[in-house]
Amino acid sequence: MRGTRGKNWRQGLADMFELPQDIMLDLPRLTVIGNGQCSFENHRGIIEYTEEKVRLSVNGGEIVIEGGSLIIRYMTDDEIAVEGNICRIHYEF
Amino acid sequence: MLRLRYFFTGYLVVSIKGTATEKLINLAINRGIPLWDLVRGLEKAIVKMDVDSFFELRHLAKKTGCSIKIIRKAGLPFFYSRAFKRRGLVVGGCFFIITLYLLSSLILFVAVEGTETLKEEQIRSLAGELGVRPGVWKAGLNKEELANEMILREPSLAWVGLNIRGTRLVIEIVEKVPPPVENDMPGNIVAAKDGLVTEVMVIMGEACVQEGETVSRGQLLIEGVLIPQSPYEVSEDVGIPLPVPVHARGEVLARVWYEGYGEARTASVNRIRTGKRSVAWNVTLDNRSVLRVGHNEIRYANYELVSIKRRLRERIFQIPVEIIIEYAYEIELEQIQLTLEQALEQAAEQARILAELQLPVGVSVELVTLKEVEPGTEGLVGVQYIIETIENIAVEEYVITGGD
Repeated sequence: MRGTRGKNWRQGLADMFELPQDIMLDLPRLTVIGNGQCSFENHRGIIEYTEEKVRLSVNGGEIVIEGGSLIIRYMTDDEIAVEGNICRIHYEF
Repeated sequence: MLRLRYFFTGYLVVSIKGTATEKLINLAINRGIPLWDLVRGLEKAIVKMDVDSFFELRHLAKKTGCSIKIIRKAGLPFFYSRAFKRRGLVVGGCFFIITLYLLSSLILFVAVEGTETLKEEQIRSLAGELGVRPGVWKAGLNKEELANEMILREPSLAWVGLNIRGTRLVIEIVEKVPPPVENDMPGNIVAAKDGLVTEVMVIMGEACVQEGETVSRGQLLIEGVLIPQSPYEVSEDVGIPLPVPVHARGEVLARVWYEGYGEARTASVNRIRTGKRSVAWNVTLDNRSVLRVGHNEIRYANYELVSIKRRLRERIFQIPVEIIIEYAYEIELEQIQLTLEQALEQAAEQARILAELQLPVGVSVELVTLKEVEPGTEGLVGVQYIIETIENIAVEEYVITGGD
């Protein structure tokens, strides 16, 4: 309950001061360029990585990237970039 | 930028095998080991990484039960060490490039162009005296100075140009043309052209024609003899003095005519391209058609055909393949009806061009006559254009006969 209340409080603060939610709520920020590249900030690590599917752990759930011949172009502890023929990106919360 | 940096510092291409590959990657990221260009194969993942953190990664791999293996060491430091191992190849390559550069900055051949009476060897040895010979540095040549020096040393040269084409030095020369020698041999003056003599001016010799006389080409005008005339009575014992042969000189002015004839039709057809065209490409092998792309038959009622032949790479070696590009331009026929005057004007213009072509340079036109001629065909008019000039027709005989 406390977590929910804390979250609501932060959300309210973010709304009130028009602050970016990714910083306030520690949410992932996605940048998708065409269907060839996408980068994720604020991730929590890789859960699964194959040529067809990359699953990333983010705050509150997972992001799944599906496509063909996917490669991880670079990764640091808060950013990861995936390249390849990306078909879809979906959330599993 | 990341990749460029690691290219200079060197990086490893590592394959990771095992079930907990994702875990290993996550651990590596948390430890701050930079990984990039992850490619997942069927069994293993291939990763590029920093050289310094390899031992740390191996430590993590042991923890997670993965096996890691270096596939390739890349980047400049490894390239250098490989190059150091194959010193011979590198040195050989450098030697090759340096030799090529040095040899191409030398002059290896000296060619002489434009000789007529002088021998090529002569020019070559002259250039050799001035330090231009095969094996000389290109950069050390002062071309203008050398050319001037060559002209000074060899008086029969009018102009010298030095050209460097690759490793070839081409000495282009122009020889002086000796001034024509005054001919003192006995000789006659004859007519260069047909004409009507208007003025005879003898400097030396005996005139054979008079004003108003018609002469034809090659006719004797001034004979190259002097008949001695004694102021005294010809005495019996001396006899008639013999004529002395001399080199005849003088001018003979005459009226000369140049004629040109032109025809024109009163009805003519003008062909105008409409702008439509069709193209056919023909590939022939040994003059037999192999492939044809484009129109097979031309659908225009009236057309002009233009074909362009192309051979493939003719400069290097001959392939019997030829491409013929055929353009068919549609044309429109336009009937043009000219009045008699317009037709005459056209014919006269044509005749004028033909007549003026024959006119020698520097001769002024005295009189122009236009004469209408009946060509005998209907719808055709003819015009004769006659230019009359007065010019000197006297030439030395050997010019006409073509001998000395």
